[in-house]
Amino acid sequence: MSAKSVSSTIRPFQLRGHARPLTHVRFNNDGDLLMTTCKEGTSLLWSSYTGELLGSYEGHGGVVWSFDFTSDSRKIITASGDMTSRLWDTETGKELHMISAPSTVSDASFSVGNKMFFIVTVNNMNQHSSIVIYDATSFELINRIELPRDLRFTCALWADCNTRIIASLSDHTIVSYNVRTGETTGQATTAHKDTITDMQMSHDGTYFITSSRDMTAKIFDIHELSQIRVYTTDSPLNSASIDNIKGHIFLGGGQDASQVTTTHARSGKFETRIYHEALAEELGRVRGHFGPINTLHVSPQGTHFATGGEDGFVRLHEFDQNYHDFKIEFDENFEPSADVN
Amino acid sequence: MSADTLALSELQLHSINLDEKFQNVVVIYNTPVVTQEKYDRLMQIITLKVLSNIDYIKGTLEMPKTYVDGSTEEFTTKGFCFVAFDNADKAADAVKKLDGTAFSATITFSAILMSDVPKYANLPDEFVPPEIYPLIPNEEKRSWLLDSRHRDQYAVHFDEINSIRVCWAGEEPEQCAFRNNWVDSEFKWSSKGTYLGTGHSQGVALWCGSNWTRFRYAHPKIYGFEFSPNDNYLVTYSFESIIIWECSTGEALRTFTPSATGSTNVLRFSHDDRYVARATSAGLQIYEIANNEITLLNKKIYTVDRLADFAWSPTDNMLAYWVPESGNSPACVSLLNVPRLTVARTKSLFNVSHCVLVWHPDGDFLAVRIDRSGKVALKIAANIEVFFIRERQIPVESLEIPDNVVNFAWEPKGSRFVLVRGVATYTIDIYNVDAKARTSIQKLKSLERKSHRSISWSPRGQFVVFGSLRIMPTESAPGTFEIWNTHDLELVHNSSHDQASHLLWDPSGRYFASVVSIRDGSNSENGFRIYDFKGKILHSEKHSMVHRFAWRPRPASLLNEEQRAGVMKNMRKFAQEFRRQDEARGSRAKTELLTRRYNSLVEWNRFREAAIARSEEDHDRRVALLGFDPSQVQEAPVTVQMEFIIEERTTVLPKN
Repeated sequence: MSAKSVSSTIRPFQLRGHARPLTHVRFNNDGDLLMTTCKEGTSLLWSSYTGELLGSYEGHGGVVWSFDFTSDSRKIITASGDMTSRLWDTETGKELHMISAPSTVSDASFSVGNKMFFIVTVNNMNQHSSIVIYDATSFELINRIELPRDLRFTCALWADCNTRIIASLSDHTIVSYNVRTGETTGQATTAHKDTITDMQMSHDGTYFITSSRDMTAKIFDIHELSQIRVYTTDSPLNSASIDNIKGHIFLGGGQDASQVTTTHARSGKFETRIYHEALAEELGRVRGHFGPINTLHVSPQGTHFATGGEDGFVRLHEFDQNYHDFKIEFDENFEPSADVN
Repeated sequence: MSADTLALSELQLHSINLDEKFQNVVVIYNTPVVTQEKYDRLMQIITLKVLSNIDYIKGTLEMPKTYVDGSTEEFTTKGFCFVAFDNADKAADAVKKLDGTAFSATITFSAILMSDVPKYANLPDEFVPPEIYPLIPNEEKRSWLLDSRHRDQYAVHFDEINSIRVCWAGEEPEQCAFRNNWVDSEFKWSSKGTYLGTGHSQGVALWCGSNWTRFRYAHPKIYGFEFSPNDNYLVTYSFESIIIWECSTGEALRTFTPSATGSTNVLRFSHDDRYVARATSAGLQIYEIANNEITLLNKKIYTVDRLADFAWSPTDNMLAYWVPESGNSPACVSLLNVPRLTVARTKSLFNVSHCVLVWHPDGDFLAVRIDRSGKVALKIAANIEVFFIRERQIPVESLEIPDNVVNFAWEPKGSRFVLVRGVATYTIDIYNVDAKARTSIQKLKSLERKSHRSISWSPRGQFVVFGSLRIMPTESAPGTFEIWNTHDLELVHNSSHDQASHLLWDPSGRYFASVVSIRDGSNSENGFRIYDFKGKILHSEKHSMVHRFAWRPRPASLLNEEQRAGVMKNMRKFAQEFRRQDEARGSRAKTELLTRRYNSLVEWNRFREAAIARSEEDHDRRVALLGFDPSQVQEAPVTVQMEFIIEERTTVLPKN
């Protein structure tokens, strides 16, 4: 079967701007901008089409863990280990506002329509891990969802027209909360067997994908948090993204950073794996990183994908004709005959 | 340390192990119970009459007494006595003589070694019937041969938890059996493949039939086990005893005591399982196996002075043995017919440092590889003596090799052999033997400057694989190998499997495997690969550790020459049929895949339709949140301005 050829000719830009492991890479809504952050604290903005460095956002005094664009790409919110979350003007790079938190901010995200945003704090410095929801114009606190001391939020998403927030917890479960009341509205207790490292929403907001150190990625429905698909791999996963146009899943990961020096790049499994979304069959792999892939994202238009590695490199890939033409062997008119079971 | 514990540890220090001490003391039972009046007379009679021709230590005859209460004079004897000997051997001899001696018309003595007392004392009081082994019909025992696709099996012992997996070989191996903790030490297939034997600390378990029925053979602390050539008998070795078992009933037929030197302990069966022999310092012990009894042939050892080694013919009841040089008498190799014990041929040899006896798998030839101890120092040379077994009077042809021979192997089902010679880099010679030809041993080809020294012949002959494999655990191996067709004398393929230690052909000669295993000291990537006979990789597996890989052997084909010729003649027809079956299987696999994909997709679409329908209901809410209707927005064309500097050029304009 020609499945492996899906990735054979994809050629990347290697973006060299960071000196430390990457933490987050995301395209904006239009797919023309790529932002990357790393453990050094620098946030860089690139052109998706040319790989050109457009600018940087200076100000954080520690690692930038995550960020989000507004849907019109005019503003960016960043989450940092310096216990602040900052709002930036995308075009000028000016800092618009700063929110101080009692502990490390690990995630930040705008709601649909950009009227609200939340920040996620972790449970260090004797603090509880929490999701704090703010009004995006007045910066007034709307609600605060707090966990017991021994638990931590690892990832969070806006869901169901901003009425809910779906979050993964450090006990490998997934919980959904009502934004206004903070009540638990749903729970997937056996979601994964190890730390959930990433959650990304589908373009229409009806399902999301999770990646985990337990070597699987899973698709869940946002309403019942029921498991729809499982993608099983042979390496711990750090990130998972959906190409909604082709119906493909992109997975990245690799062995723990502490063990990386003992393994060969080939056997460390530092490849991006491409799976068929509906069939959960592996279609191909893209090599290139020398360390685990920490984060990856497919542009909303399905034209590019970017990976950020522990090795400090960002690889920006433009899908070629071969990828767009790829079709898994499947007869449209195929009808299963009765005698095959 | 308190006084109590000190006393205890002292006691332990002086505790007596009956097994080790008192091996030179014999206990005689059934002596008459007498009082003090007759005691001296009894002692006298026993000394004179019973012990007169026994070599015991004088004055050690001791008869325990029971004293009458409060008296030091009146007693009765207890009815047994002790006698001491110089050593354990003398005591053992005395037991044979004394046991069953008639003392009077009514009294018969019995005697045992003092060290055996605990053995008899600990006998259970109740009779426990031995486990009766289920009878497994031969068809069931050989069920794996009835595979509809005529595939061969292999077994791998891998990982920390001692898993064994048995698989059907082929383009895509199919698992037949799998179990964790299936074995403690090592596994082995029986010689004809009937049983899978697994070694455990308590003994050996054999597994057989399609359900892998288990048979157990309890022999604690074994260090190894072997099967007879026809799968009838199992031999288990421990440092205390060697036991021959009948596989089907689980009956221990005979127990042997191992001698001090290891090599002479090995029991070797004749090709038909009728005789079993071992080498001792006095000569050959050849035992006949008949009616579940193993008896020494002619009730005596076949005396051979200085016997070094022997080997049974793989097809006849004949064995070859060799004797090293001693003083003026030369070394010699002899062929012995069993059970008549007549020597069929003897050949004397000079300047021999070592001999290796290599039988042809069909028993047609015997090659004796002789390493010369040249009188001139540092001159290494070897000889190959070929015995033509099927010819009248068994002629012997000799081949001089002025080099160091490192390996030698006969071609199965053919008349070729291969020898590897040299030091560090090797030369591989391919020879043919033909008794009728003028030069009965003819060199066909020499392959020079090779690093390969291992030889693996295909079991069907013709093809041979030369490999540079890890032989010593400490060395590192490139794992390169070459496949040669010895009929056309051409190289078929060369390849490598880094650190490989074994190249193993399956019994049909269709496939071979290269194995990297932890048992041979390889810490790098353990695993195995299966190739077809042309060297194409069909399957490859990696594990954290591989202990052992083994193909399941097959019994000899039941087809006679005519039937085989018939098959060869109709080969095209058979091939067509097999090809058709392969294609059918291929299309069935494809249909299965398409069905699986179809069902998967149907399920996914059902989920998507429901999700989209639900999201439609939220359409108005979403429009309110966004401030526009995302479904109405036209994708604006993206305009990107790009500027590429293609070239920079400086041109100096001419002055006007």
